[in-house]
Amino acid sequence: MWEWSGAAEAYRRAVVALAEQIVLATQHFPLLAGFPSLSLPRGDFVVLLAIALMAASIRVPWRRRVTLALVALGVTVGLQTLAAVASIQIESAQEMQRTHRILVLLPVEFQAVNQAKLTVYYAQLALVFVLFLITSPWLRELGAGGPAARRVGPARVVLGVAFGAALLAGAGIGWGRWRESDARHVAAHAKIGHLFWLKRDDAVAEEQYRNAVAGRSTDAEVYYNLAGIEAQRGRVDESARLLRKCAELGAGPVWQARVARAFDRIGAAQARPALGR
Amino acid sequence: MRGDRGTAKGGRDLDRPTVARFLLLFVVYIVAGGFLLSFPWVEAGLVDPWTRLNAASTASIARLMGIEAQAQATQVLYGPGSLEIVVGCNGVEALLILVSALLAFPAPWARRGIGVLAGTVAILGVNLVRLVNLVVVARFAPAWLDVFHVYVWQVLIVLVAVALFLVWGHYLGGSRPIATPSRSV
Repeated sequence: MWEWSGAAEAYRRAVVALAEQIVLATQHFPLLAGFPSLSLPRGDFVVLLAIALMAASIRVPWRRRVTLALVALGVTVGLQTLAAVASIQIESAQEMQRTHRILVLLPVEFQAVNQAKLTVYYAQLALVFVLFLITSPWLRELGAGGPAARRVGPARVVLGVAFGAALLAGAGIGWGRWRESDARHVAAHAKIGHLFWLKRDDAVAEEQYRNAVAGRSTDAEVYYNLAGIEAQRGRVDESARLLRKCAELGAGPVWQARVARAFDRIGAAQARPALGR
Repeated sequence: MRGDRGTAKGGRDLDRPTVARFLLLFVVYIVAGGFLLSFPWVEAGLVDPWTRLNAASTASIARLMGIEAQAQATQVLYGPGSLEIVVGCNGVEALLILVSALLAFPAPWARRGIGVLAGTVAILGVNLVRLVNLVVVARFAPAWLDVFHVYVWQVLIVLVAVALFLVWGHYLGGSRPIATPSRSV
């Protein structure tokens, strides 16, 4: 019924749409626009199980059954969405590597995302395990009783959550900084900037070039194109500074001639370094 | 249901911190185990040989049942088609769930060890039944393969893990009070 009624497909589309929104809102490189053909890992069996357990657990009061089913559905949708986000990241990274030789995810990031996808799968099975366990009439057989321990106060819970959130935020910031200092990641910013430059999307190209410059890119083209953008805005000094950096990095007579012409065009010939000597 | 609120043997309530500690450790062990399984040397030295053994055993049992089948690395070739045994079909993930639950449960370590050993044999045996069943379904009712593969066996293998956990809890985990005051959270 789940398949034939179209509910499975509707569920898949809902999860993909949710994952799309998350990826589009958070993507580091502005490469993706939509993922209609995304193949999701099959995790909707948990949805069916939650519904079936809700119907079958006749000794559990209705209110508790419905609550359990809703919690299970919420967690499942969350896990499936995470799996979809990871799938999108992996597939798009592989695609960019194959077609443009751009390293969207560093090898360690790729492994981490892949691992996260697997962990989400394990988490789904763990959810099934917990669902079976807490709806089982034989739960008492575990006999894990003992003297009642003191309850954890709300202050400790809040402290724990705050500590966890701070730890996550710190890890996120540290990871971001580490990534932006990696030459391969900086090169990806530069290459993606070039792609958008060629498409005449200067705004996105500039954003990528600025990231590349912040990461001390050694790609002369980055500085050259960014100098052009600055010159268009009338910022001659900044344009000249970028062209001087370009002259440092761009070895060979071709580059020197290009830079010299650029200096002439922006009317800052006096700021030109001693090119061609 | 009374049990769902955690009434233990003898009418004592499962205290929430113990349950929370169990769940937290359960998740930590699953994540750690999953991480361990991702190491190339674990995959090459443990998971891959195990998956190949699964394929070979499945093909052998299928042949005993009169189905033409042979194993090729991690694939089972049967008549018109083949089944690839991948992560998620080799029983390792169900074993990870069960072992994580056993290790997270506040029972004496010797009992946890017995549970892990017995659980390993049982889960891997049941997984073999799953694989043979999937070959039979793929061979004779291929339209149902998706249903059995995704909806029936993924749930069933975890249900087996839950049953093993409860049986273990009845005979070993819960045969005497497990949580002592000093160990309570």
